[in-house]
Amino acid sequence: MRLRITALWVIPLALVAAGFAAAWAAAVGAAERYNNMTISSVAEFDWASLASAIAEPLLLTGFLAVLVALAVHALLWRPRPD
Amino acid sequence: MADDEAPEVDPRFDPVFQRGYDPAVHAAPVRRSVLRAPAVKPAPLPVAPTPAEVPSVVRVEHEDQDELEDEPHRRNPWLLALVLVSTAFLAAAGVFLWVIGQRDIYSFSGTPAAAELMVQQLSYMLPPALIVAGVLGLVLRVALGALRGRA
Repeated sequence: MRLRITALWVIPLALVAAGFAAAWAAAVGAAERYNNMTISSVAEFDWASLASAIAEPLLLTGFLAVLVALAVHALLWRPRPD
Repeated sequence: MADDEAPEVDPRFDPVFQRGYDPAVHAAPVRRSVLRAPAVKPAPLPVAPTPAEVPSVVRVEHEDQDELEDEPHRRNPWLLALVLVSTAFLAAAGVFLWVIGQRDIYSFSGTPAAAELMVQQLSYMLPPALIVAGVLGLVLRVALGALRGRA
């Protein structure tokens, strides 16, 4: 039970962290592109574009997972007897 | 002779309506108990004992009696956290949208840093996600209240 509760919080936090990491990777890639004035060719795999594309879904899923974790805790909550 | 004797009557029926009825002989009442079941005095029905005092309201003992009585005074902290987090999501989305609106779109430094680009990208990326999460959180709060029987 405790392990599942831990996973309930680890998963959303990991999703949010991955979303911010993807956003950072996308920003670094974009800055490098601006500074070097290079345009990646179609054949070249662009990690920055991929990171930019998956950052928002990761963040949204992480936020929703946080809400789900709170809702599960609210359902399991019972007042402690004095 | 047999003719001198009074004819027998069927004891099951009233002798008045039978052949050979002689009032002098058959005046005695015919024993009707042959046809009838013996009269048995019914036993008195048992009477339920009346209690000295019948309570008008029966008190139902509940094992969580204290919990039920104290429940209105105890709020679910996780529901409160859910509302606060959802409201924070919506507020953060509003801040990001305000920042986007205040930004001078004509200023361009030429060599943007990665941190600046990340803030810019997050300011465009986060508001939709935050709005969706915030609204869904409030909807989830209402749904949980409906599940618990009190909104």
